[in-house]
Amino acid sequence: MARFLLKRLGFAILVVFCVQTAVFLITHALGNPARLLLPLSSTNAQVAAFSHAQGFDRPLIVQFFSTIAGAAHGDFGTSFWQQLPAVNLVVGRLPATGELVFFAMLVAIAGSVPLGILAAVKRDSVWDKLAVTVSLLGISMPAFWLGELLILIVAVQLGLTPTSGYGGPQYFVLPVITLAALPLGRLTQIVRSAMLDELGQQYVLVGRSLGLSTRSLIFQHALKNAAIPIVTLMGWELGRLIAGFTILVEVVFNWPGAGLLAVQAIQHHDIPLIEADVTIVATLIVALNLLLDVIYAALDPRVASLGSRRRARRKLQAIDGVPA
Amino acid sequence: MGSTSNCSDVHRKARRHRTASAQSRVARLGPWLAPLALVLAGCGSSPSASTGAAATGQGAGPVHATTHHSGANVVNIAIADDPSGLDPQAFEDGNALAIYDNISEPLLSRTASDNKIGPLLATSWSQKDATTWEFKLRSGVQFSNGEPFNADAVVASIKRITDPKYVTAQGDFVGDINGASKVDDLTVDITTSAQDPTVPKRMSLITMVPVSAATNADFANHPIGTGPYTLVSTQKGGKTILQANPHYWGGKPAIDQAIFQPVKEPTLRLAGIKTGELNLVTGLLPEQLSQVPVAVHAAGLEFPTVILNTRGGPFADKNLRLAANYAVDSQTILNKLFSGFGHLANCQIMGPGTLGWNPDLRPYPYDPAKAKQLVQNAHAPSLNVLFVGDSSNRWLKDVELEQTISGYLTAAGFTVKPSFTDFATYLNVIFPPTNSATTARPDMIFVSHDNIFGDADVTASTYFLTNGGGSSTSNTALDAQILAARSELNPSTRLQDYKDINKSVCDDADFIFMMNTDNIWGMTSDLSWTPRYDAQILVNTMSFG
Repeated sequence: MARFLLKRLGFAILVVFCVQTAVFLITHALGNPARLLLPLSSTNAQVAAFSHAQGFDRPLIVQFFSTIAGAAHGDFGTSFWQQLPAVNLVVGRLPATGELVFFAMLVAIAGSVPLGILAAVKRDSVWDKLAVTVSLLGISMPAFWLGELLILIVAVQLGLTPTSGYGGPQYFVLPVITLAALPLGRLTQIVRSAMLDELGQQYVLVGRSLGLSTRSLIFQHALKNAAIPIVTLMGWELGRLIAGFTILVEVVFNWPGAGLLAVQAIQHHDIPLIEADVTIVATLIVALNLLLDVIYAALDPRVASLGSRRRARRKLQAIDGVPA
Repeated sequence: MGSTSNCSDVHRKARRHRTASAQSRVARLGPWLAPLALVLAGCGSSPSASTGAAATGQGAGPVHATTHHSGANVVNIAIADDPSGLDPQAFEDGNALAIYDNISEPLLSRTASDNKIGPLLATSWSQKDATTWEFKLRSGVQFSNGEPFNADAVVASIKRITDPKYVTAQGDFVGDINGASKVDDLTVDITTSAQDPTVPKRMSLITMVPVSAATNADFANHPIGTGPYTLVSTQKGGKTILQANPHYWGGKPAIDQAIFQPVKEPTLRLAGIKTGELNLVTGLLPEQLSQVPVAVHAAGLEFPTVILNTRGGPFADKNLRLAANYAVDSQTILNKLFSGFGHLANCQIMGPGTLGWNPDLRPYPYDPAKAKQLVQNAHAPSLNVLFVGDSSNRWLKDVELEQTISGYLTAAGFTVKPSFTDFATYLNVIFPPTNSATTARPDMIFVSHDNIFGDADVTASTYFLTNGGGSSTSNTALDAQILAARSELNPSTRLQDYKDINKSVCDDADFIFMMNTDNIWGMTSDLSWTPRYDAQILVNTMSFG
């Protein structure tokens, strides 16, 4: 297990490093950022002085290593735009993103699990068709479209919620629904199909013949066995929400989270802020994946011991030619 | 000297509307999609009951409630993006200005409609010698923390903003100003390193901070000023709340509280003003104005134009430059792309708010027949023209403008080769890192010129002078005129110099002079306010009812 964890941790650090390298290369591929940051009528002398003060005139490789070294200490430099430590600006925005993602996942799980089970148990019924329709809508509606539509109908026409912004519970309704739609749709499908698989298994038939109640068969046996693919997808959806979908939803609803900040940083050509935002969010996602790996290993010991099993099989093969 | 800001960011940021245009297409579909949306909203809201039940049936947010139901005198203002920060001497973006213009004041004021200098914290000013200006200060003025406003405060303010270690984006406001000294408690001398006729203009842009700002590490978060409002609270990405200053020297303002909130998407700003959550929104798109309760607009700083390369290629021929001016129907462009919000530029890329504007010049008329004739008569070896422009929506409808101009020139007989790129690539062409005087220039470059500083020298030094950063011309006579005007101390001679410079550039048709677009705002019908030329949002000029 320790060996497994160490290996995963090594990969995680490598991934974060690669992300950082990519962000550095992309942001610096635009050339000297000084011109972008200064007023249009600045003279070349002013641009050169600014470049020097900001260190843009150093060789790219020197800038790269100073960026990486700084990042390793949690220092991404000063935001060009707001003249504050970039890392503080990003960290200040994380709670808003966290709240949005948390409630959206909650809604997606609370909606999809009962709906998926109902659809599988009452296969081909109205419930099943409803579940399939809802999940297809959730998957196929782009978030910006759904968000705009909800603003127009619920906020502008009906006046039930604020149009945008961040604040009390009423501000959460529309962004949470919009962000939850996609994972709700996909999770409903996976719950439905995983449950259908399990309900078709021999042990369910045997259980029924032994007189076990439908309720106990569904919740104590089938759902438990269907949990692995469902939890896998939940983790994956969570990662996707943090990685990308919050950006759309935060822009559509003017939600002051890390996603909106990333868009603002790009618009302001604020390289330290872009680097801080992307690196911190990437680190969060990598950490989340690491955590999920650990959870799988705990849920299913085969995951962690795959390596040792393979080694054992190789040994056996060497001894008496057991086929792989 | 000679640099300026580009434009107030309020407008610039609002122009990044690629997503907005997609969204407004959705908006038009709204009624058709309504039944579907209701179904979807129903499906979505049942599982969300655990998180948002409190919201339904409660009416729109608390902001709405305070503004319209309790009768409190609160104005909700949407700005286009987060302010860079609130330190009144550190930033120059329009969203920061919108807030701190209400907290802090400069020595001199600018008039709302024509940008003329007038008294504010200083009651009079005069030039003592080539590099010294004397300002008489208003007596009895206090900062909101109780510190007196006097010569010491002015000296401290100038010292702070000119300190080389102090990071500020207002370098172009400061220019050659290098110090201030106290004459008596209410008299101060401001000095420059070179003679600079624009010192009064500069002192209408540099804000005054108390002496304690130098030692107050928290000043950037909690600025103190002499202005009509004081800061209550501010939240990154969220609301900034200002409260009327009851001891304001100009009298307590009519509006008790102003809440500024960044709302990035124009469609959201529109939605917010429709529901009454917002009372005043900046940076709306021209086509959205028919949907707001009250639309107000004023001539703004932006002059979209095309720089013609007079150094070589087809536009070295003046007749072809004239042809390009006759070929483009600016009035129709203004009507179609900007819903008519703006007016034709009078054959110059500045307006009445800029010192040096020439009121006697008239736009070249739209005359496609004459344009074609000039093109045919030119016998140019080539009518191929390279047109460089921005494609990132840096400026309101820049791509649409560039494409329309290309169309008109093609109709006149030119063969336009467009090169509309991202902003960084574009910048490297319009302002080459090497000396622009010796760098090959494309035949046409689109730019939206603005001059918040309000002095023609900025425009002339950047775009008319042979070695100006964005110049595509080389005219030794014009260069001499510009250099003479720059060092002229007699205000009326100086004004005449710039009028003459504008006339030369107009006669030479060095640009396709097009138009001056308006700044546009949406308001709720209960608010009364008159917009300004410089787009400042001064809450103490607003009232309800």
